[in-house]
Formats: sequence, structure tokens, C-alpha cells
Amino acid sequence: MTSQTRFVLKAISYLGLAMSILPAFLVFGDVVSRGTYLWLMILGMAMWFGTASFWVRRDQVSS
Amino acid sequence: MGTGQKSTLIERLDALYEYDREPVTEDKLHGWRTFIAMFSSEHIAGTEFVLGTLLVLHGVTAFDVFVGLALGNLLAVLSWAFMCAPVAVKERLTIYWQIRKVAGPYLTVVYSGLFALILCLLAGSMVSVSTTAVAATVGIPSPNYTAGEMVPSLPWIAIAAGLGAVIAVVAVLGFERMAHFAKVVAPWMPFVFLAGAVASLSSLGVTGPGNFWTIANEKIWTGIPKEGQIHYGFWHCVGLAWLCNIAQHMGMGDVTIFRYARKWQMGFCSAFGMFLGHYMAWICSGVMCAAFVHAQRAAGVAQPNPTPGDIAMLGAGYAGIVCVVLAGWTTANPTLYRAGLAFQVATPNWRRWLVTLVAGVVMIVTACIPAILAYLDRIVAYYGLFFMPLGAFIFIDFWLFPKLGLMRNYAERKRLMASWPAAVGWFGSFGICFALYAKDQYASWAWVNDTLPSFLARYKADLFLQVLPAWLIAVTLYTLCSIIQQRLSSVPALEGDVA
Repeated sequence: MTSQTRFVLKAISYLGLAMSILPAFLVFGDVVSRGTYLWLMILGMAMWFGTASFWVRRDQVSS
Repeated sequence: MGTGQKSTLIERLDALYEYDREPVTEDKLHGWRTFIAMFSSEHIAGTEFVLGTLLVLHGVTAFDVFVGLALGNLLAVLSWAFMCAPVAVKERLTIYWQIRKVAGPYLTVVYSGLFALILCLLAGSMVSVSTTAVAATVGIPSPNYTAGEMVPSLPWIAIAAGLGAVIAVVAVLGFERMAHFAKVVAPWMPFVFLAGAVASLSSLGVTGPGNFWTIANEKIWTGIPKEGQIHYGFWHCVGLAWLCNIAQHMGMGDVTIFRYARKWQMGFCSAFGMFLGHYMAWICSGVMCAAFVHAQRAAGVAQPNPTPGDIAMLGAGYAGIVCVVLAGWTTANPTLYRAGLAFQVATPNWRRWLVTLVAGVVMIVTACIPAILAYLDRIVAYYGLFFMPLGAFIFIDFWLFPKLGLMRNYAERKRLMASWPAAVGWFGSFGICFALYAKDQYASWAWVNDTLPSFLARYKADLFLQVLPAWLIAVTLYTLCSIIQQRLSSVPALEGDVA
């Protein structure tokens, strides 16, 4: 994996994490509807899982 | 059991840990980031959805939760940093070898066997949590234990068996891949907990930081327990947060992890696990539970049943459901793997895959017992109290014995099969603490009050507040018995045995 690909994947992952929390504050502030919030949560989840597994490293300490 | 069988059992036990006999070498040590990641991922489990909910149902106040949990988690972090990690980096051995040195191989076998059973039970509770999420999605009601439902429906059992079977097979076949997946899941889960809680606040009437505390006391942590539940207070919150991982910190279970740490100060990395998993996640699941109960009562449900699946669905929709399933799954998997490893010591001639599958069956059975989730806080407390003493002996053996002129690792040096001071300290401390608790809780134990001095008969012990008495009783019994054992021993201490 090139460093550029890794950078893009990481960026999408972190955007996914942001997407998994910010909509909650938006629905709390009545900026978006509850339905939109739930869809954004699914989108955030898909962004995170679709990219993070490619760059999160395996465990190194064995218990 | 014959001598041949005994030696086979011990040889087998040793063989399981054959690569861990030597202390970890310098080139294999790890830094801060490894331990931060490890604690963050390990302590956000599906059961956080249960424990946060139980605190709400037991009628704690907002102050109890925010301050009590903070204090309890702080004590847990300090226990890791000042008790567990320093011993781990000096000895650099697994808990197994450290217990074997102070207690002898027989007690280590007993410890491993019982530890395997409790791990199966905890893994079962995690499967149960995941099952509630899948069941909620397909419209199958989860058993409501407080309403008297002791056995789940057949479709619910089928889901639990299916999930449990997958977990058991993965534990046998692909543990490493699963461990990596757990590491991927870990950073995402706290966000879902937090999102679910924040999104639920408005349904409870919270409009901003200004009225949060008022609503928190009036609608979330009301101070009034649900019908049929014991009332919990500040010290219960402190005790639960401190006790729920006591087998790992004061019980020294995590010396196995921290033997890889460069410095003992890395014990403070446990703060990431505690304050994300056992503080933020418990508070968030409490908020979601209150929102669920509020919504159900508004819909006319007399006895709401806030299962992890239901509260996650309400808080974060299908992302919440995925979070519950994965939180249960990713934690149940290594738990089951460790249970299989521990069970193997009691079944010397069985292959590991078979032992792990048997442990999986035990896990599935326990997952289908609704009482396990309903009493998870109590089970965790018993688990801590029972397994903590052997770790306390390691601590005392390491720090106190040289100062008292006693020989360290006496069982190992004298080649004892079992250390009687360790047996007296272990079973004695648990027996005393249990009797003091049971005398006021169970009718069949009420007779104990008649045999006790009046000051002890008046003492109303609570399970969560037994941490310190249990630790003190354990180390006192162990130290006194060790003094007797070593003073009576006709064999003089070898040069260099002391200190």
C-alpha cells in the first residue's frame, strides 16, 4: 500500500468517525431530523469499517 | 487420583505456558501507544450496555454516577499503576508462573479451572448481549427477568446458539484475525455510545447544559430503584467501578500484559480503558436506558425491559445494533479462547480445539440464562472477590516478605505441590467475606449472626464494599500462616533466598 493510499484511507476513516458522532449533536440541536441522524450513523459506520481494516495494525503484544 | 495422573496434569499445565517461563527480554518491550490501544479496546465491551443500565435500575443518583464512578475508576487505575505494573516490570513473568511460585502447582490448577468457568460465564453474558441486539432487529422479544421470565423463547435460544457457535468456531480457527478485527472495531464503539446518549437526551427533555443536571436527577439517575431491585448509592458505584476488574489489577492478572511494558508508569494507560469503557460508556448506556424506559412508559408499557439491543436501537439505530453485536462478539471471543486455555489444564488428554468447543457449549448455555444479565454486577463482584487473593499474595510476597525476613516464592523453592498458607488465605478471605455478606442476605445463613460477636453481627456487609476487607484478610492470613510455615520449617533458608 502506498503512503498516498494509506493517507486517503485514513482520512476516510477519520471522517467516518466524525460522522458517527457529529450527527448526534445535530439531532440534539434540532438541526437534522432523527431519520437523517440514523442514516448518517450508518454512513459513518460504513466509512470506518470500509477503510480502517486496511491500515489498523495487528496486535503485537500477546497475552 | 494417582501420582502419575497428578504429574501428567502439572506437566500439561506447564506445557501450555512453556514459552512463558523466561522473563520477557528487552527487545520485546512495548511503549505507551500499545498499552493505550490495548486498554481502550479491551474495556469497551457489550456488557457496558448492561452495567450502565443496572445502575439506573438500582436507583443511583446523578452524583453517585458521575463522582462515584470517577472515584472507583481512579482507584482502579491507581491499583494498576502502583500494584500490578511495578511487579510486572520487575518480574516480567505471566500470572500463571507467579501464582505457581507462591502457591504451588495444585492451587494453580484449581485457580485455572475455576477461572475458566467464570470466563465462560462472562463470555456467555456477552453472547446474551449480542443476542438481544439480533433479536430486537428481527422482532423477537428478549426475556424480561424482572417480570418473572426465567427461560428465553425457543427462537431467542436459537439465535444465541447460532451466535455462540460462530464465536466458538472462530475461537478455535481464527483467533488472530478476530483479534485484529476487534482492534478495528474498538475506536468506533465509544463514538456510538456517546452518539446514542447525546441523541437520546432531547427525548428526556434536556435542552442544553443548563437543565442537564436537573433532568439527570429527575429522569435518568433518580435515586429510586426499580421495583424488586436493591437500592445502590455512592459507594456501590465506587465499589463496582473498582471491583469489576480487581482480578486484573489488585489480583495481578494483568502482570501478563504489563510484563511487556518498558516502564511501570505505563500502568496509567489503564485510564483509557476505565474512563472510556467504565465511565463514559456506563453513563451513556444509563442515558439510553432512561430514554428507552421513558419512551416505553409513554407508550403504555407497564414493565419496560431495557435490553442492550433495545436501548442501542433507540439511541443509534442500526449502527447501535451493530455496535452491540460487535461489542459482545469481539470481547466474547478472546474470553472464550482464554477459557479454553484455562480449561485445558483440567483435561490433560484433550485437544485444545475440543476443550474450546466444550467451553463454547458452556458459554451458550449460560447465554440462555436471563438471570446472568440481571445479576451481572453481582457476578462481577463475586468474580473479583474470589480471584483477587492469589494476586494479593504475589504483591505481598514481592514487597513485604523480604522486609519481614521471609523467603520469597517459598512453594517453588521448597518444591511444594500446594502452599497451605496460600490456601488458607485464599479460601479463608473469600469464606469470611461471603459469610459476612450472606448472613444478612440469605435466610439459610442467618444463623451466622448468632455465632458472631455483637459488633460483627451488627456489621451489614455489602458485596461491593468488601474489596478492602477481603484484601486485608487475605494478606493477613497468608502472611501469618507463612510466618508459621517458615519458622516451623526445619530446613534453613538458602543463601540469597531472602530479599
